Amino acid sequence: MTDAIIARNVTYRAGREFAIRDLSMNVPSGSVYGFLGPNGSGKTTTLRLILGMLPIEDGTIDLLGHDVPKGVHKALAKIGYVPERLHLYPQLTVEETLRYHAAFYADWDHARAESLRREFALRAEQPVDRLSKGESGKLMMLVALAHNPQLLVLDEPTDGLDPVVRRDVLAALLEYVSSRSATVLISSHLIHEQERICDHVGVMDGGRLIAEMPMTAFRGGIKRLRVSRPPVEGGSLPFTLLNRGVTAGREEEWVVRGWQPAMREYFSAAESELREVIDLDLEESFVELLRSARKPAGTAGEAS
Amino acid sequence: MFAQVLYTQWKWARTELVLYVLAAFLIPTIIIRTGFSYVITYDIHSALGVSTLAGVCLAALAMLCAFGLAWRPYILDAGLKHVGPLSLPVSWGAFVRMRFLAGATLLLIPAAAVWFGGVLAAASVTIPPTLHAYPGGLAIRFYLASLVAYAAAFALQYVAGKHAVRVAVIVLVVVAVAEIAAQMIGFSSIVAGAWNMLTNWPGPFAVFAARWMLIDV
Repeated sequence: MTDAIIARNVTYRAGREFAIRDLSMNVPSGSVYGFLGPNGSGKTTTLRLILGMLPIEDGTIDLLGHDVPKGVHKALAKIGYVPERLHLYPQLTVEETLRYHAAFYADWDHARAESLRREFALRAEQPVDRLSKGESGKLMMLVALAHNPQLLVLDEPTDGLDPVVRRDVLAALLEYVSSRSATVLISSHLIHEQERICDHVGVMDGGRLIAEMPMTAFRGGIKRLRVSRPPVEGGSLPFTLLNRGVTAGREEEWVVRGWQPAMREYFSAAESELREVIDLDLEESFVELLRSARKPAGTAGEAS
Repeated sequence: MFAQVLYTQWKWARTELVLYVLAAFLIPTIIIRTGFSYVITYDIHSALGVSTLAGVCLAALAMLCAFGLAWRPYILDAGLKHVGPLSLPVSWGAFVRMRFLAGATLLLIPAAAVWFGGVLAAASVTIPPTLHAYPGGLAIRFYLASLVAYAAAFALQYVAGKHAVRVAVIVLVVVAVAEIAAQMIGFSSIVAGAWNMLTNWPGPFAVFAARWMLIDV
């Protein structure tokens, strides 16, 4: 499987406070890649860097086989982008907006655009500035889908939408992805939504990509372990220890990543007792990843 | 692509364009007709004075048209953080060129109104002997002047971005301070020198300082 997006050691600085630091990521072709992170973690900035809207200071980005920013315009012809906020001209009508965008894309599918417009119940003559938030979201999705893109980049596409509109937008997205084998990079802080639709996930925090893995690994690979007579830290662990905290007496809770049942033997060999292995849901896994990333290096074993 | 960029700019500017067209048509018509009603047939000096007044008003209108048409598209794009243009499969340079050319095309509309108003105004008065009407020349001058002012405003916005107003204020403050300093130490006026340089050929604003005369010798 080739990668639709390959970023290597990308660095970008915006003012004194915020920076994207040494970001490397791979978005496999045909995947639905969920980009998770708290507000202000750098998801939107990263998407804009990938699309060549912001200048990278260092590093390289390959977008659908084109170098960014040099060949980004060729890549953009094959990309549908739904930004975080409305980017369409408010004075134009829905029909004029579609005509405007159609002029820029050689592969614009007028029939598909019309069918999506009807499906989304958007009136052709309605001005963009009179659309509700849900209708604006649908129109942006329509504009992104109508030229049959190979890659969809969606920045919080369902944020603030009511459940019915959210379902419509996600249904259109999934229908498109399944029929075209397109790649989707979708940023959101709605973790359960991502869990439903994504097969890969990347987690951003503080301008860094702190984890990137298949969704199955994210969903099943992070566990909370209750350990009696825990071994003192040191030596090589068969898993990644994210957090370690004392609960009561000599019992500890460990949060680990990359857990496999066969790793129980590590505790037997260390004369410890593994009392319980607890599955974490996606939200808990996400929070534990963030907590681990925000701790100073080498301090996995702080009290919880 | 260009047709759609032109259409969007037309749609944004059409209300103010109507006002510019009305003004461009009415300025020569009203000033020349009203002024010439007080001019004795052979009073060339008075006739030229009326023509000059119309010319000054048209020069001011050319500036207004230019700034009006340069201002709106940039503000709209900047309000959306330029995300729309940047996500399109054209280079930023190509998009900005289309924006510029669309504005330059729209400026032809008030220029055409100047020509039409000039033709009507000249036909409706008795022009003193030895004087002639130049509606075509005046319309071309109007277009060139508005184009120069439009280009300057457009360049300031796209180069300085959201700092355009700040840059313009800083330039004005620097010029004012330099002028005051020049006056205090007895140097010749910097503003006058700069003005002469800009408004005399080959200065970029020479078109504004030339004769804006519908009726001239």
